[in-house]
Amino acid sequence: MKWSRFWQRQQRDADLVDELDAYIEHEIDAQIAAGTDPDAARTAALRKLGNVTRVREQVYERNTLVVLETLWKDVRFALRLFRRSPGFAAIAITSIAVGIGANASVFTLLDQVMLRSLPIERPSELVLVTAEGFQYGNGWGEGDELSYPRYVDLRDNNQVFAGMFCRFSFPLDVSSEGSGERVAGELVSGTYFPVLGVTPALGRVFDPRDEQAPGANPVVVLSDRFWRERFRSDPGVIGRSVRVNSHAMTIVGVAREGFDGTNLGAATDVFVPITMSQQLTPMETGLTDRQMRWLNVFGRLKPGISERQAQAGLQPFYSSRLQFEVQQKGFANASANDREQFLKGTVAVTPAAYGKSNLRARLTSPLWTLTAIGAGVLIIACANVANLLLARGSVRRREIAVRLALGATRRRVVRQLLVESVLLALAGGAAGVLIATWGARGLLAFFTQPDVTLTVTPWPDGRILAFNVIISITTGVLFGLAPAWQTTHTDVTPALKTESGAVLGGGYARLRKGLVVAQVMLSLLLLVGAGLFLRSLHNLLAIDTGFDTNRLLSFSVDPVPHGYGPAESKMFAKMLLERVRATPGVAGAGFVSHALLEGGSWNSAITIAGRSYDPNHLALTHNNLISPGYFDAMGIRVLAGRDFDARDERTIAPGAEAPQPSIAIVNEQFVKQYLQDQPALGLHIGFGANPGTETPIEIVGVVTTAKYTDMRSKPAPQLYFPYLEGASVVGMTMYVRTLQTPATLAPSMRQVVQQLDPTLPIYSVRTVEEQVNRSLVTERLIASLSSVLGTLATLLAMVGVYGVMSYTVARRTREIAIRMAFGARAPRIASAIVAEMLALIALGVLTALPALWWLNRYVASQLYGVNPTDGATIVSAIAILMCAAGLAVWVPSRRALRVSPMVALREE
Amino acid sequence: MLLGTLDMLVLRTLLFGPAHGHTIAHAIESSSEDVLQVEHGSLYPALHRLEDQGLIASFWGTSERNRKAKYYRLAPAGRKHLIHERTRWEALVRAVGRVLGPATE
Repeated sequence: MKWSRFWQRQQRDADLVDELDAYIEHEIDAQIAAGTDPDAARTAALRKLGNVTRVREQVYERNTLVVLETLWKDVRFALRLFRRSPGFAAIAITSIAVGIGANASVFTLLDQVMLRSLPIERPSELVLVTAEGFQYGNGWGEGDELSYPRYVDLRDNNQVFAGMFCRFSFPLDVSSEGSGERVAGELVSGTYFPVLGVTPALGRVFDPRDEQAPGANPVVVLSDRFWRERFRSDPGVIGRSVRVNSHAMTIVGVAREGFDGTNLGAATDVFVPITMSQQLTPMETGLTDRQMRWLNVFGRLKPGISERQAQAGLQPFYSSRLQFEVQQKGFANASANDREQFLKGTVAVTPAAYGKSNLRARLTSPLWTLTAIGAGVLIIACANVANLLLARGSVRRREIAVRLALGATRRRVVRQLLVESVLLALAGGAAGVLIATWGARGLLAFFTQPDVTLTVTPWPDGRILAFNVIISITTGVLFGLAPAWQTTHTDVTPALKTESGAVLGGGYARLRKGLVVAQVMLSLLLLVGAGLFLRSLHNLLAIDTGFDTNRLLSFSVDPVPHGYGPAESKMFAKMLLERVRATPGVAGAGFVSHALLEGGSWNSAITIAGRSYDPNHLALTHNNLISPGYFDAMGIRVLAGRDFDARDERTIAPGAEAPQPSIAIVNEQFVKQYLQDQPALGLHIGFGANPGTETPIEIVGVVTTAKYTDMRSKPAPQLYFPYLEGASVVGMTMYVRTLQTPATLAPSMRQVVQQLDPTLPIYSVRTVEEQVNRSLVTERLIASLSSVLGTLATLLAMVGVYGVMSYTVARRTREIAIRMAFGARAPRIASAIVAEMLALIALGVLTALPALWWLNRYVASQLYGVNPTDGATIVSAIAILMCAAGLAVWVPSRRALRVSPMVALREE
Repeated sequence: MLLGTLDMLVLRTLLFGPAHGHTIAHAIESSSEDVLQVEHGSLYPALHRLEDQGLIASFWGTSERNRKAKYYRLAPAGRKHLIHERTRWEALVRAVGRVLGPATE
């Protein structure tokens, strides 16, 4: 078989015709020459030659691939059919496209955030080592971090790891050639790159020599991405000096392309040695303090060692270190209870092939929820296609019977039907892929934050697309094949005679009804879900933050890493506040040490003078340092006592240890929760919960309660201390109440900071409203996506109901006509059909109810202020579904009413 | 007709020079004592197959009666094939003859 012959097969056929014509002419000549009558000569010649068509067919088949030829014919036939019933094709293709599009776009994100390992050597060996149980001392992070000395102990005394490293994420100000910017930094141990197996793209990466002594390793490794963006891939950066938080450090290398640190989602720009923590972070004692917990510790398991074995191997040594630590002077003031609890602490070993990702933690349940919703839509879409194909198969029994009667083989007919359904699936799949790329991009836009570099792309992975396309083709084949098989196995004669008018149940009627029930059930689940998420979002948006979020702008600066001494930093803060207040358009301003609604807080246990010690009911507070005028700017009202003012400023002698604050303002919640609404003014408090704690701090004011850590948090007792009483300003976030649109003041704010110090980066400039909205991004995403997908699912399901209903009416037209001829009234017949459909829908709703109850456990944690079994939501979802279903049933039922007995019976 | 016989007959006919379908059909019909008494049309698929196999070649020409006709001629490969097949055939005939010989004596 030659392809040249295949492509020339038409030409060759024409040649053959000429050739055969020539034969006939010659034979006629011969016949006449032999004395045959000229009229009979042609007939004789044709007889002699035989069946011309058969000869042509034989030669043609030699020149073609029969399979290919007939396949092409099937495709063309299918396309012709689709053109003739565009509604059917459009609905089927749209169903598949929407199903695949929704599913693939959600799964693209899920895959990248949840399922993709770090780009390192043998990621499955990587584990995270965390501290569990009661902790004593200070922590920075989520509470399961380890201290540096503890990390070093474990690193040097274990038999289970091939290597260990530790790391700490911290924003750094990097300036090179005059211009500075805030970048994502990662402080790492010398073993970090060797244990991960990450090689340099340029220069070198860190090794254990870069972790020698505190402050002794002023070197930087850049991420490949940062090197390309910031240094335009300049190979000359190696050996160049940059200022990191005003410390001169040398770039020694660029890490391998594609490696963005161990925090998936938030990419690292620069890596610096952990030994520089004292210089680059406020972590002054981080390298020596055994109770300062701040490091994520990772280990690479030795071959053949499981996480469980590793844990068992570490625990005895870990416990012995706790025994040692509790003897140290840091525990001098610890209560017996604290010591006892502390010694029960354990070490945990968990798989960390995905690294340590906050994005991952934050998106885990939302993404699984969305995936479930996407899967629901896909199932409904597939059910729709199945239903359409089944209905079509039944309608086409007559056509197929005709073709079988005309001599088509069964295989040929089945193949024709398969080609049709696969074509539909492919068209739907292609459209779905388009929707998926577009949808994933939209989803990604939801998560993008201006100050975090996401290492997630909207491009669907080949595997995901393949998976979805396979699902849709399988649906097409399975449900295209079933009716094809059934119809080709019918006895030709009765099918031809009676088919179109007969009232036959058909083996697939029950299956089709089952599909409708399932669709109704699923779409009700999705509708209820959408309703719950919408109400939850509504509740969150209606939350009273306790301060006025309108026309409020915030920004942050951090003078201390830029060489400001304690006194200078306070001076800078005062001057900045004055200048901000003097800026036209500013109604008020104040600053705090800890920014609001960022998830974190400075919290502590305190003692209230005159209250008895109870280890089970410690007074815990969230604290903040604030400037005078902060309450006023925020719209937080002073209920009793006074606000801080210039009187509360203290000058601390250089080098002297900073004393405790002398005064504090509490919030209403504090009064309610810890003072049982007794007057607060004049009471004294102190830091620490141990019996005998000194209480030198006087409460001088009470203010209204406001949100601190995040929107969802419950009202929490809070303490405010005067910032300028302290020795130094550490971090500061300024809140500015503006007269006009807050965003318009952002440039003036940058200018004010630059006038004071042109080298100081200003960051996180944003309106509080924007921040509030952003803090609800996940809820917003789920609510909007679940509503869109829920609506789509319902529409798809209703298309299914409509299809079944129309089909039922069409199939029963003859029956209706006969009944009417015998005197039955059309409305009665129609209402019988409608009742049957409504019963199916009701069945779907009923089956959904237990499923709802079961699913609720999974969504409860993602809801706010609404019960998962919220009656109103469920009832309204059912109402919406019933209305839509009613419409889908009613429209085709009118056709039954319009049946004219004479026309319908004559048609047969 | 034995499988492959028609091919041999066609090739042998062309040994005497190029010919078109009509001529070949009649030549085979007369020389093979009506082996090809079926429809002449069935000759054509064989011609096309032989051409595809490179055993014969074709060209359009004008016939003795001044009509357009497609002529076939023996290709070198066809000549070789014919000799080969002929040898094989004769060997087969001899073999069959030896098997049948003693029985008739």
